[in-house]
Amino acid sequence: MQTDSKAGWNWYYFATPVNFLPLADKLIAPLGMLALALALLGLYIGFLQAPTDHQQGDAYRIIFLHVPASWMSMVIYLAMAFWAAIGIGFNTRLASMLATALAPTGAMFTFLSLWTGALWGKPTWGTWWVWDARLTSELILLFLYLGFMALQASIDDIRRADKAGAVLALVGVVNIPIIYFSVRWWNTLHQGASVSTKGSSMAAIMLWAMLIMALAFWAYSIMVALMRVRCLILQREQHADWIGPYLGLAAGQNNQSKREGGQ
Amino acid sequence: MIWASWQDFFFMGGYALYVWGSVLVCLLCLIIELVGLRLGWQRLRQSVARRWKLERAAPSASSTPSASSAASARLGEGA
Repeated sequence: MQTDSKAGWNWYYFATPVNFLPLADKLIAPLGMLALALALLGLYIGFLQAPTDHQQGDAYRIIFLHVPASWMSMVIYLAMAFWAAIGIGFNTRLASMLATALAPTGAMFTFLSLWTGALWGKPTWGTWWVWDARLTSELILLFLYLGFMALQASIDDIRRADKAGAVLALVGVVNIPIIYFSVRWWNTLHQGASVSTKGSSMAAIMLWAMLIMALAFWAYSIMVALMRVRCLILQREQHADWIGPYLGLAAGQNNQSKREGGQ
Repeated sequence: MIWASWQDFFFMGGYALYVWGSVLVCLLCLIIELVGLRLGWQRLRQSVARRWKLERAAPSASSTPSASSAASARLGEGA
């Protein structure tokens, strides 16, 4: 970690692609192992130790996938909007790349939330789908993710694509509290919050399995975002001089390219 | 474990379609994402390394428009 002349930490050390890329490389495998370990533990408790539910039978076990996926769909969107805001607010490339990297995973978790929710709703509510506030706003979240990705893909100029996507992401942030509070504000078929800062109405063992699965999904999301952002960094910075040494190539005759790497 | 047998486990109290349908689709999505990213990263590394070497190996050759555009077309211009 570099220190600056005032003998403090340089907090912006990792804000440039050239420094961030090796960090991403180091974090991916440990995060993967953490995610796998937590997922195995969570699934073991949830599927092999937690008792059958009195009302829903064994259909309730979808909760160990559905709730973590739903939480991640919202958290990833907030992270995406945050980095998009940093990217246009400070005009930095890496923050925008991070936002772009988060979107596909967020879309995936939103889809999984809807899919597992539908498969849970059919046996318990009697329907695959209903246009209640929570389900509808989660579907809108999926459209926001896909719209973000499509918008960025459609604009050739990379920085303009970053900025246009950022505006969409930020405008769409209002959807997240709507999803979260929908079960409180409206009469919904979807049940109300069973977990809050005041406690939980779930059996302890079920709650633990669900929380462990949520942590597993979190670790997985960070890992995948890092995997994707390093592809973006390599793609966008491929003409920089530091790329050669990073890939293990000799610096060689670089009398052609005098462009600076990094920020 | 709470199940009397593995058959009971797979039967999931009659909800097998819904529970395993959820589990399998989750696994599928994870696999697609991870494999896609791993392959994409490896391919990207190779093509960037190739182009990097090309741009720096023979300055006179790669400075001609036709040669460099041919190289770009071969390696596939990414955004």
